[in-house]
Amino acid sequence: MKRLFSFEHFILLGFVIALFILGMVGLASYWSTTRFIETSWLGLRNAEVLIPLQSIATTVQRAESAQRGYLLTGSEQLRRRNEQALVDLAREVAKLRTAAAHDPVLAQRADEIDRLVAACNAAQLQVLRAYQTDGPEQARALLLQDTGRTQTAALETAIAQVVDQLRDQLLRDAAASRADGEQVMRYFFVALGLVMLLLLSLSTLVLGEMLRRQRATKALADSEAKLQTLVDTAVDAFIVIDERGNIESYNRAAEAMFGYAAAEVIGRNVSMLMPSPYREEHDKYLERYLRTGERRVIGIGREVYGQRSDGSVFPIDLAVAEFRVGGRRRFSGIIRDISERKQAEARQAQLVQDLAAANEELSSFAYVASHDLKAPLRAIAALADWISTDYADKFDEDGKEQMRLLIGRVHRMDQLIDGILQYSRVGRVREESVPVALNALLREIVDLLAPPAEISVEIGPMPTVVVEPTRIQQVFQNLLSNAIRYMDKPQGRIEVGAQRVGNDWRFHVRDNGPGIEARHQERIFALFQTLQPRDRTESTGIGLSLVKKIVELYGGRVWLESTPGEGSTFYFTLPQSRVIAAVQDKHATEQ
Amino acid sequence: MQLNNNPILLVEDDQVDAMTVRRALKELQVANPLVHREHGEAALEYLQNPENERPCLILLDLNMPIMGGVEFLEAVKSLPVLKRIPVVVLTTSAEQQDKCRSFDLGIAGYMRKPVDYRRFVEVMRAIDRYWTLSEAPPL
Repeated sequence: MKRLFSFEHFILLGFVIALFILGMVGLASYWSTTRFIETSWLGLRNAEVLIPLQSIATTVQRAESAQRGYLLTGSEQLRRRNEQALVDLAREVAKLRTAAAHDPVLAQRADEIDRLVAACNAAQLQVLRAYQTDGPEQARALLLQDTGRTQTAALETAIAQVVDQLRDQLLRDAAASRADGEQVMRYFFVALGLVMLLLLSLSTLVLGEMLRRQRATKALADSEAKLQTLVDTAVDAFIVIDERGNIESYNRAAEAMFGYAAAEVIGRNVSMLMPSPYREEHDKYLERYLRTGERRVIGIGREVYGQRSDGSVFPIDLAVAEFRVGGRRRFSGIIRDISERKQAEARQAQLVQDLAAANEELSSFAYVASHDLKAPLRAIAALADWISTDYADKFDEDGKEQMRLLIGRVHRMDQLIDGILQYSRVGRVREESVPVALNALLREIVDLLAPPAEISVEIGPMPTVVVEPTRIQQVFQNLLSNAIRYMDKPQGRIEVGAQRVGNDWRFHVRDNGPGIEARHQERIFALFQTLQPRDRTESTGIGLSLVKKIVELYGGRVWLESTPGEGSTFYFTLPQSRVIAAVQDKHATEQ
Repeated sequence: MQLNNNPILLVEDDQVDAMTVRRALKELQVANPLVHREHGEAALEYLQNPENERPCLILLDLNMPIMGGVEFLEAVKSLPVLKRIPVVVLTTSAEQQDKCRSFDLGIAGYMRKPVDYRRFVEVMRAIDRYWTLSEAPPL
């Protein structure tokens, strides 16, 4: 799964946030410092206003006291002092105006003070002028009117007001500035704490990631080494080519298989490892695949041929897969030398062929031999017959008996040969399999065998089976004829039935005859095996082996259950696929 | 055997089988002469020789040296003058294949040689009686 944010994005985001916070703190500091500087500067400016103000206040008093002294004593020195004070006052007012120019309110105040100073001066001048023109009495009277005093008091009040105002403002500004500073400091510490936390967690993350990546790199290196070892030690040759067919990777098994060292083939076209016509076709094929996507081998695999460095050609099993690395297509081929397998296959095919031939030979041998045995047999039979007919008067009773035995043996041999012929014909000669209604077939067989009246044959519901009619007839005919032939009870009962058992149909022929001891049960299915001397019961010992061969040919099996003295039940099975109708066909039954 | 009194051609390699046929015909009092050839090629030579009397019936064995019965049938049935001569196969083979090929080649009957001589006589009697009653093609 692809993460929405990669680790790098995450870390970058962390640093951006830290930077942002730091920037904000910087901005706040700048703003706070600016304000502080401004406040300080303003304080300085205001302090500059205070100095001339205080000078004005003292100078006014100095001028006043000098004037008074002069008025009292008429001392020229005091008058000069008064004049000097007035000059100083004018200078101080000028200073005040300059210092207050930056603030319109202060400037206004300065104007007001200027005006008051001017008024004071005017009052003093008036007194002085009165002193000089009208005499000390007049001046004293004027002084006692207290005009100058009032003016001075107004000036002092104004100065005191301005001073108070300035001091208040200074205090206010200082308090505000300090509050700002403290606020900024708080923000600054919080921000600093945040940034430190952020950086701490980021560094933890980065460290963790670094460790993880280191491990991953090591794991990757390990895995690559493992993969390389795997590829190198693989039993199969492993070759990687690019889109143009040039070899990019070539393992040791490939070196051993093709006889080229890796250095000899890396970068060369893979067609060098193929014999004609593949060699010439390969580029075209690759080009066609890239253009049309038409696959012949890629993603499929097939058996083709490789060519070794010595020019020898050998069969290979080639599996090609396509993959992309960095947007470029590559093809990996896993190649297995199948020379040995091919040889083994050829040997096996030869063996199978030999076996089939031997089997064929054996079965045709049985057929031909039986066939050729018949001719002399017939000759013996005919000649024996003619001798006993033509020379009947020359034979005594013994001779006649011997001739009879001779002819009997000839007949038995004839039957044996017929049996072998039948047996060898099963599987050698195939008839067409057709649906056979067993009920009808069984009735025909019973008619053919014509059991004596004391033996009853009961046929249960039988299915219809798809088989070679002659073969299934041979099976039932042999089983029924055995049951009839060996019947030893006065009331013989034979019962035929069928039943579905699992994936098979099981058929049975049950009799109440002599039964067969367990120790003989295996033997009776072998060729030419009978349980009674041939002279007593004419039997070739082929019937049951024929049954077994036919049933097994159809993929079934045959066996029997028997209680000696009470009877036997012969079972055989046919696969369900051979049975097309479970219940016998009404039509077939009527036929 | 009626048919006219033309000979019966027996193509049979086994001497005793030939004797059996001869003896059976004699026993059945068939008057037609019996011409015996040991294989298909000799029989074909006989048939193609205009000096020889044309047989009214051919009794043919299938398993013979030099030229077998089926091969002989193929040759005879491809010749317009000979193909109408009725051929009865007398053989030991009960092979489906042999029967089918023989009947495909237009034989008139297919008899298996019984081992027992008496039954052999019965087979010959059946052939005799059939060809006594049946109309024969013009020779």
